[in-house]
Amino acid sequence: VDRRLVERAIEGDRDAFASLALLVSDSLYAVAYRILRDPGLAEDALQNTLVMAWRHLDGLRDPDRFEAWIRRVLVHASYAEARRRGRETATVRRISMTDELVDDGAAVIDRDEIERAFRRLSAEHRAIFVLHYYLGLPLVDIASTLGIPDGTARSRLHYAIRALRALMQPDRMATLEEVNLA
Amino acid sequence: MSDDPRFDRAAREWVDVGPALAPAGAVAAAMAKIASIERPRRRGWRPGVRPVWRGSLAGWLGAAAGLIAAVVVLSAQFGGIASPGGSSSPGSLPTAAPTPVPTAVDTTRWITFTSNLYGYSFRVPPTFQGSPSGDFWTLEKYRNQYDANHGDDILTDEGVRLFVWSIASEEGLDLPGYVDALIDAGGAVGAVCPQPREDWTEIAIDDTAGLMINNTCNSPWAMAVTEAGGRFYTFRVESIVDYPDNPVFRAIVASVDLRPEDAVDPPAPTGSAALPTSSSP
Repeated sequence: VDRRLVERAIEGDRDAFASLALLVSDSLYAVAYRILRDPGLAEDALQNTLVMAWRHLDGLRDPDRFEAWIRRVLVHASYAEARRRGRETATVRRISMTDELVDDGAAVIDRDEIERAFRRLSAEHRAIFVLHYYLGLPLVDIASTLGIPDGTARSRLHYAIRALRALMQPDRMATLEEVNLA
Repeated sequence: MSDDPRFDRAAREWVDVGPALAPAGAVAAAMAKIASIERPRRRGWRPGVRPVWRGSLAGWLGAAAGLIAAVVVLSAQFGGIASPGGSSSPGSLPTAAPTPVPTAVDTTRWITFTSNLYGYSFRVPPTFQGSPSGDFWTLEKYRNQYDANHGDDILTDEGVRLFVWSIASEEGLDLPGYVDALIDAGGAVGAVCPQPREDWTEIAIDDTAGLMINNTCNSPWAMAVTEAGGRFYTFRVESIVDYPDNPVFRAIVASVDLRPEDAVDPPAPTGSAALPTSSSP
């Protein structure tokens, strides 16, 4: 992304911002879709992201960090979309640190199985999963994107993977604990 | 990452499937909304805070002055968050303002969020939507599971998110020690951006001495903590905006009513790995 374009947008140039929006919209939408698993929600998240970004762009201190910054806005917009539409599961599944997943070497990992399990993850776990597996971001960049400490990012990714794998083999996870937050 | 290459490969293959292009017209629709949104010029001023904390009486008394300062803000800053109508008109702002005129956050339409589980209430802008926690938190649990969302989760469409909770104090642990414990747990401060005690700021929360820890490094969050009635209270904000020292958060903290006598203590653990399964606020 051209730094001068970002600087012009920060100064209030709508044309510059529109150019930026076109540059990043495909990537943002792809990430939002993968978090939300719904094209309508993802489009809403993208539009809200662009509106929020316009409103708050003057808070961006370093124009070179624009892409990371707007990705952070997108993740927050996706959280809000998931909550507003009631798609975010009301049940947080928590796994004790001491629990061990059963490693079934013969198991075949099926995409539908991943899809079903993924939809049951919290939005936070879905987001970090996508940032890691889809965008391939290193943990320090994931932490910056999510606005969380790097130690939390590491742990959250760990928990997300554990939760996903646990949800893919529920019968073997007798230690899975459900905490109803509703 | 998962220590299972088969899972990693399957996960990558699965997540790659899906659209790579935004729907036609999505950007145009957003730009149409943006056309009616005026945005003030770049912010150049941050509300004054007094750095360097140590537990002197004078320092605690000084926190009262800090609290007053906390609700004094730029009219432009976070205007879209504090007032649902969006940001101020540019005509009301200085065009090149080295010394902007501070104004107070308008809290008249704010709503009250109450937790009988954790023992507090506070006020937030009407755009904030709360998701009350039904879960007990202890410092031990935080140390072990800091990944999990802790406490009440209050989110706004504007990209600001609050996590608020209280934890029963531990014997021999003072407030700075509690913050250190959060830091040690990895749930408060990243190793990349440590927030040394010298950078903490004294504040008052419901007339009780507290601390404000602002991350001004790589990720936008801030945390206000205090101790009352044998409980540590934590108010943490995450924001999309590039620095967390924001007046809306400070106004939220200034509205806090601590009621430790109402807080519910977690049940005694029944086993080495036992955790409370559920509870209702």
